[in-house]
Amino acid sequence: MSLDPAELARIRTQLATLSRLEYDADARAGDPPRLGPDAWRGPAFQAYDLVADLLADDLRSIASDVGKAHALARMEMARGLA
Amino acid sequence: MVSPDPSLVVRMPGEVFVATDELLAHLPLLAELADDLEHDAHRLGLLSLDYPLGPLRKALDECERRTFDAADTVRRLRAGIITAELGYAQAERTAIALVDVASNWATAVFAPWLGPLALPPLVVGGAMVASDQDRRAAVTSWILDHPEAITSPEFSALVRRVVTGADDAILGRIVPPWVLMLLGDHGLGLLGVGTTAAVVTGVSARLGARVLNETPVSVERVGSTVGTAPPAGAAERLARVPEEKQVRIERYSAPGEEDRFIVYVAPTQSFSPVAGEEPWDLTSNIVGVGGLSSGSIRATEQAMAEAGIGPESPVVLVGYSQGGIVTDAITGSGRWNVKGLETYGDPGGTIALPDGVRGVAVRHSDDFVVATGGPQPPVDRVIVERRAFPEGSAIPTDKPVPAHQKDAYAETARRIDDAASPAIRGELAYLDAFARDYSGREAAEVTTFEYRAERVSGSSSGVGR
Repeated sequence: MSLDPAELARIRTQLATLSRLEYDADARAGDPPRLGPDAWRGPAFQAYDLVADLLADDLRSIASDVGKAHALARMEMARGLA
Repeated sequence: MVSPDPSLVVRMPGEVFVATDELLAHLPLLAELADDLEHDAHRLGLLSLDYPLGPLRKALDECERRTFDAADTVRRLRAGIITAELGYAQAERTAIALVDVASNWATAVFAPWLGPLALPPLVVGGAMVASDQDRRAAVTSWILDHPEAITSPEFSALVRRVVTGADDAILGRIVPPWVLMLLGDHGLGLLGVGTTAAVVTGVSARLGARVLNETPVSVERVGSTVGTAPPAGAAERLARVPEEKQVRIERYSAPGEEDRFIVYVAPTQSFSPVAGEEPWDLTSNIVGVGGLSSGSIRATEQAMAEAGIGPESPVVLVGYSQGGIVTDAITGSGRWNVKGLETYGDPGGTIALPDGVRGVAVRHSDDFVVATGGPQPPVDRVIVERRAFPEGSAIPTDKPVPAHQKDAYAETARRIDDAASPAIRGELAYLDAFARDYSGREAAEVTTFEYRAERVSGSSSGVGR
């Protein structure tokens, strides 16, 4: 089955958007927000560190999920072009 | 290179929020991250609508939901940091105030036994200096050999409490403690370091003593050059603060614009309590802290007038040590159009300033000279604090009061120039722009004047004249 050129262009744009979203999610996962203990005057560092750890896990997991969605979209496009 | 610095503690205007430069620089990054996550979550949601119901759309919807959740977590994390630091700053202020109140109360209650110890340390020290050269040499030698004894935040806090309680110890002999509490720093604020300094110098003047006795001053222009580049950053401004030529004034002129000026004021040149020829002396220190018109303040104002600075001329003042007292007093006088104030190791923090004066006040938490000015009230400037010699670091033994030395403040100024928090960067940009706005223009000119002042011997001005 072949797609008409307009439909193909639309799918390519969607893939490009997903690719960009995956790139940004990867970048955030690779550099999660983090403050060392020296940056704190009060005793809040440990609570912050706990939340920062959970956030870093979330960002990694989101990056992975966006990557999977991107792969799925590519697969669907390939199926449509076949 | 800009980089967050955990060693710099930044007190925002009004001291409502106090945090390290690193933490303050982190807050906008979190806000930006939350915005970016929300933006991407919206894009994921829109993208999802382009696909038919099925596994891909479900996957994209799940990504959208989790990205929104992450943005929410980041916003709550940021709010939590602010709440925690606000709470810590409040708890810190409360704890200090309680200790101060207890200390003042105890001083007032035990005043009858504390009388001889009650005079401000500077005055006692000054009397020692005046009376006994050998003792002076012994004290200097001991201080040089044991810099760790006087170089810590704890010692600075002790000095602050002693100078604050000095008036309580004297007056506690004649009035009940509760009256002192009502009138003191934590009550109506009518008594305090300034009052003590004013009384001491006033009594000295009335007795006709040569110690701490103010005199008239004369000022002479001793240098003039054209073509100086404007200073960029805190370190360059501090480096321009003069020594022997006590006042340096830079005039920035541009066609069609009002002249602007930067005035740099020197630190103490003589620690003798007996007024000699040098106006930047101990007398000016104590008179200045007392909120009165010291020789160095009058000399600087004379130099400013001689350089062509009028009441409406925009001025930025830069002072180190006694220069800080002078610049605070000139700003507080309301006679000049002060647009910015930058001080280093300034014991004049109790001098009242008009609202809205921008700039930075740089202090070392282990510099007890700053503490001799007493408790520093909140101001509209950004206050940057740093411990010059953190625990375990080597403290120089070749100079007295290492944390007050200009080279220690020069290191802090360099760190300030590299600081990342918006609060510091904003003030630096403001102060830099003051001079640079003109210097880039066609036919702009920078002229530097240097001034030397002397006390006029054989006469007494009386305090406050």
